[in-house]
Amino acid sequence: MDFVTLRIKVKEEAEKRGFTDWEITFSGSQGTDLMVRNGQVDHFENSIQHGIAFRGNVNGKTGYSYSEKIDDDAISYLIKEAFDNAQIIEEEAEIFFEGSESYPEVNSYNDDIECITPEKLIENAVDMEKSLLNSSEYMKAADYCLCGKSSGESFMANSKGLNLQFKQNMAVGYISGIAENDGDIKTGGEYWYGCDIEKFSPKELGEKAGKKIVSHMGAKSIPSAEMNVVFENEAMSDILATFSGVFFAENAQKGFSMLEGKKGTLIGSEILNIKDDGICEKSGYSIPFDSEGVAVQNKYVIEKGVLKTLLYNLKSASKDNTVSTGNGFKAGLKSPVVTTCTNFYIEKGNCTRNDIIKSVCDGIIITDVTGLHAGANTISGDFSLSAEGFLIENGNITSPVEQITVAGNFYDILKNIEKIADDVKFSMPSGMGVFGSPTVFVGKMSVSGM
Amino acid sequence: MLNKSVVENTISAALSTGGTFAEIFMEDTKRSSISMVNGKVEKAFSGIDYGVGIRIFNGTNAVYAFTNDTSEKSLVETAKNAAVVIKNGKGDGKVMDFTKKEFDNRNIIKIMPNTIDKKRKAEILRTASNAAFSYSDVISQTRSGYADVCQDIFIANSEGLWTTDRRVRSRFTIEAVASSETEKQSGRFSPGGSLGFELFDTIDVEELAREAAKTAVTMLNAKNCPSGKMPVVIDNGFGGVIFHEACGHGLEATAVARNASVFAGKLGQKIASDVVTAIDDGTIPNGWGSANIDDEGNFCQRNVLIENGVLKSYLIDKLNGLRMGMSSTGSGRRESYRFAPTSRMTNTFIAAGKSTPDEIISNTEYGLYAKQMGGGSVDPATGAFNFAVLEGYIIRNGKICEPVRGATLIGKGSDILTKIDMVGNNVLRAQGMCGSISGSIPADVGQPMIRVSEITVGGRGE
Repeated sequence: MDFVTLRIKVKEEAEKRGFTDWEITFSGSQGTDLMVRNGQVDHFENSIQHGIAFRGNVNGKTGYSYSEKIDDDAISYLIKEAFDNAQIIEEEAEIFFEGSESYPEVNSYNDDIECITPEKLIENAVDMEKSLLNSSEYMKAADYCLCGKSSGESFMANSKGLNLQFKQNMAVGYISGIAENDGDIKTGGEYWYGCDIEKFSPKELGEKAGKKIVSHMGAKSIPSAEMNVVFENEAMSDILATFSGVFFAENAQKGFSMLEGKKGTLIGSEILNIKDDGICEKSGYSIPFDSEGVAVQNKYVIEKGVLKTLLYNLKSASKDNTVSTGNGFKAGLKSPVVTTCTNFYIEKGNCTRNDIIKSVCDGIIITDVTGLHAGANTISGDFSLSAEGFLIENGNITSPVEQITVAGNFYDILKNIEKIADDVKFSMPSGMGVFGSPTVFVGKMSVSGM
Repeated sequence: MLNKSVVENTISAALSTGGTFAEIFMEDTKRSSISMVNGKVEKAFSGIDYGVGIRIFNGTNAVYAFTNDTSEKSLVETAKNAAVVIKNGKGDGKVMDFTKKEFDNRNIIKIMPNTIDKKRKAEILRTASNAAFSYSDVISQTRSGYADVCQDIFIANSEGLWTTDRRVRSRFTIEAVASSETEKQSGRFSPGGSLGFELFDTIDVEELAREAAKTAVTMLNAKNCPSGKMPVVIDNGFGGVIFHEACGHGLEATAVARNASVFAGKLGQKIASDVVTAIDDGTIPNGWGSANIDDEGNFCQRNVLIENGVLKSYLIDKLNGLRMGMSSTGSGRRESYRFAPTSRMTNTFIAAGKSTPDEIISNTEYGLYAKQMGGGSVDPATGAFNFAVLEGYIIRNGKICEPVRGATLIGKGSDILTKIDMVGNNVLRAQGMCGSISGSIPADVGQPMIRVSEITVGGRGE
């Protein structure tokens, strides 16, 4: 059934049932993923998925339903179930949107991706594994070595006349490995994704992962101290992702964020700019509109330290008498609309990572943080995280460090950022969006070790 | 669900490059759920999961593909695209004649969930929420939930298997949170089964809500648990989660075949104390983790894993069985058509011993009584675990004394097995969702009251 037919049938049945507003979404995707171990394909998977989701208001309440079967019976089922579900809901109805004035042009579909054969993916994965293993005498094995490609297409239409569609594809490569020397075991990984396959070098990715893992060998704990702390791009991006919820208006409205009422005030260092941008060439992830049909925006959340806006969906925007910022997303067909980031990142600064190391002179650079789920209080901003990194001595990176914890507060870090490098790195896209950060120097923090 | 020629053509396409085995798994599943917070319905969802998974073996290597498009053209194409990956296969491409596998349904459903109005389901949740709130003024929040699923499956394979099954499950959840100015404590129950709406004839939701509230309130007023090594009495029911996580996963062929389990190569050896017998039983009528057949079409079985301390069996799926040279134990399970099946638990429990609960408590001079277990984590490679005790008490001079909070149990599964020195006669099973490489599936944990002579207890108290 094509989307036009589906839309017409849904409209007819929804109106017959008494829905005052309705929305139908179709999403479909195809993917190939494989894993290589010791030069052989260890796991191979092809997938083709599609489904439709319905959302509608009846008697002032919103009902949801979904189906992976798409035929006339499924449409009747969707409408009936959404109707029955709405009957018992005791929350306010959701808002349906007539459409933004215009939508940004997004170039996130590349025919080259469609031309990648499974053989090519296997070849890439084998190359990646080989270059990892050859990167150092200490590399013992590749833990996960995978390559894949996927493409997706979505359509949405609603009772307000909205009618949108979007198509995207991308390829990914991920490799992690295990290095060992005399009982000292280190693990780690690297990834690449994007829709410009020309930019993917399996050999370089394998080497990069290998070098990164081996650089941590011989790491030791250090005595506890207050010290200068630099967060490397990936570590800072993980921290930003963990606390991104404090910028959601729906959390502020429920008392789950300290940023309620702080719009227009200074909440960060004057050199700090944080953006949420739906169209981001550098991250490789772009989307023209959110799951409510609102056009995404390129906006400063923090500009020169000042909180410019929180992130809104239609419902949280109406509560604050403002407009949606295009951040109302569903995690999938089976999920409700919530607030989610698009590309949420700290803008690059005007010095290099090396300049920061030189100027900090003595301290520590944190390359990895773990325990973000348990060790971070996303309401108060407090965190205590297990970390790894390197000592900075006399303006140089020296010995690797492990088994330390770094404790602090996210809101304090925003204020304490002293230097921002120009090496922004973006995370893999997930249901939460994409996060990015350059390396930043955040002043003194308490580091516990031995 | 599919006609014979479509199945034959799809399997033939799957074997066209020399695959040694091919299988089709199809499902048509209806799900419905309601969640209530503080007595108000916040979310109600329903939907259909529908699709086909195709699996091909080449010896002990496997390829998997899935699609929601179940037309013949799509299935044959999906099978062909997956088969491309098989190189130098030794299979002859032959598909055996299908023989329909028949059986008596062990999980009889009396009231199909979709025949009951959602309002009645919401009212049950409200009744539970009210009961929890009225238990005490310090109950500050309740969450109650209802979920049902009806999964129709069809499996056929190149060895001539042709079978179908229907799995209906229902579950109820109540959680009560008690708060003071500085603390939050919670109590929770979530019973379920391979049952329809008659689930609610087998449970008393108000009583469960009051019990959950009682746990929360008791713990709110408890002092911090002391730390150190001590005897620990773990109560029946959800206490079995430690065996499930720290031992059960190590007995799955997924880990054993890769030699990534401490129990690999130990069949016939003594791995637990004499009083320990452990069973995985997918045949319990209406059990939460029960089914007539597994997701590879083999009959579910009652597998004795450990008998009087001796390791008797692993949990084995078809692919890992080939790798290990052993046959399936009816343990191939998966969340949905999106996952290739692998060896998983069904209803796993420590079998009844001879002691009464009173004997166990009165024979313990000093220790911790872990009445309700909470969540935890396990390192699968080593079996090292870390579990929170939701409701705990100090045992002193053979009597249960003051409640304690914040206790965690730390240890290794293989050590604990040898330190179980008393096993009660009151087996109880409790329901959970178990996550692993083939997705999230319903599984029962269970045990009678047991005593472990020594576990490291973590706590902040003196």
